[in-house]
Amino acid sequence: MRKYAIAAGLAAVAAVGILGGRQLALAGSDNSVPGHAFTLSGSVGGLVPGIRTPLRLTVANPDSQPIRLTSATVTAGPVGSACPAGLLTITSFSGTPETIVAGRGQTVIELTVTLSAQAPDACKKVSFPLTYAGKAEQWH
Amino acid sequence: MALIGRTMAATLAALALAGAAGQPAQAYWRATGSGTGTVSTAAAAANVLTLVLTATGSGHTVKASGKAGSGSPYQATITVYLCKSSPCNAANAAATLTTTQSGGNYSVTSGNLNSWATVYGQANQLQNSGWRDYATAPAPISNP
Repeated sequence: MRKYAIAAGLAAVAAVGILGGRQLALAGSDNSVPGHAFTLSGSVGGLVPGIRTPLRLTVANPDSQPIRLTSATVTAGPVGSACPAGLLTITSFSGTPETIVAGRGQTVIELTVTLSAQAPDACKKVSFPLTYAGKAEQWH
Repeated sequence: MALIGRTMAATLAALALAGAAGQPAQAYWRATGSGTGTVSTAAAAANVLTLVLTATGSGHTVKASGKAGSGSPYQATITVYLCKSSPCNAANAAATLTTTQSGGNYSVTSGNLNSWATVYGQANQLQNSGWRDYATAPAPISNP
């Protein structure tokens, strides 16, 4: 009888232990772990009104583990009241096509930027500042 | 029987240890990215385009004239949109006139606009850089 009690106790510990491991795994998939970051960089020139122009962004992963890029967005700042940032249309990246960045590697994604065909003279030979933001997850 | 019991106990103990010590091998982290850049627009020649609308007094026509860019930065064609309401642009145009600049000037006359209460105008000229210059008539024409 005592043996069965011991066995049952150990079985319970085993179940708790195994399930505990799974719970840790699940918890890890739901929460970002601070300290992991990557960089986005890139610029483009020669934009003219009404013409879609490629904006190539380099995604650099300083971590040793590969990452899968899940999103990338661009926010443009104004160059003056006569040439607002709203005259620019910039696409974003939403995870497709699947983009994997190797550990300590980099890759390039391509967005497009278009200046409104109605852009005024104030937008000639100016430089809009861009701010990039992205999200990624560890890739197994 | 006792051996079986001990074996079971040992097996369960091993499982317990494996489970308790099990690492979340499939756990993964997420990362955020950031950065900055610029998007620069092309250089262009100055916009020298102007537009004046004038009632010719003949056949209910309107003359569109003004200064235009000449030389290598500019294309020679001038397009003038005439509209019945403001703002006047390609999308709102009721008539479109085209001509070419000569010596930095252009002039083109519309057809009969007798039924128009008001005539608004916009001229545009494409530069070789890709920029398009616009000029809006400062005053519309009433009852041409």
